[in-house]
Amino acid sequence: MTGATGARTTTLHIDWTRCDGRGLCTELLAGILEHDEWGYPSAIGHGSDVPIPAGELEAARESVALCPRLALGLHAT
Amino acid sequence: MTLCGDVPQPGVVEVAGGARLSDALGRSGLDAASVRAVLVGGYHGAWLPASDLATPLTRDALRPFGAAPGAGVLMVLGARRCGIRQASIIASYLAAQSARQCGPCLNGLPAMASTLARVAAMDRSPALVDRLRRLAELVSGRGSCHHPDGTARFVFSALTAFADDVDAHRHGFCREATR
Repeated sequence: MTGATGARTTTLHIDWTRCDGRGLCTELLAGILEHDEWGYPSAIGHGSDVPIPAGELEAARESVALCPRLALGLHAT
Repeated sequence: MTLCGDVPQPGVVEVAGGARLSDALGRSGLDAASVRAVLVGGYHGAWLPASDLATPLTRDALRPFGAAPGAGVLMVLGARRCGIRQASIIASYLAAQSARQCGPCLNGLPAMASTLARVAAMDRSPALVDRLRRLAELVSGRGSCHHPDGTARFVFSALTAFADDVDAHRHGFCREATR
């Protein structure tokens, strides 16, 4: 499920075992993800599952599709 | 429970559910006056200072300390020991135990361990403790297992329980060195 409608929230899941800190997602989702001092994505207050506001959904989908390590997934909760 | 560290007789003792920490320690013939702090719940647990030895070993009673009975391991730190030195040794061990699969743990735990080692070695740089706290926050929740979370919990707990050691080290003293 990737489409979030109504009150449902979509979260971006980071698979840390795949992530290599290439930095693509931190550029596409600059308002949501920062990168830590080693280049790995970091969202303040969130760990492996980052809530994505509706306005950033397209950028989040793009991040999932373009991640060179296939480390991202979108989940509707 | 498993008793280890500065105890007369390390080993496994039988303790009734909900017993106080002091009761469990008494099983090994330990004099409460010789205790500085107890690490409850193993290396991923939290330190209870000697003033709180009457705490029951239950989830509810241990929660305020950020501790839990966990695997039932109690590690005693003797009254004359430096908590920060001991914590530094344990943090280095935990950093070496990373499965090295997730970036934040692979990079963050050795960074935490080396920063704590500098505090333990009486490096007086004022920013060390802030960096340690920032690193512990940074690795928390960012891994496929909870090894970084447990290690961060241990480090936070050590900074709280042994704040006086941190302060002493910053001024060039260590309780172990000034015996």
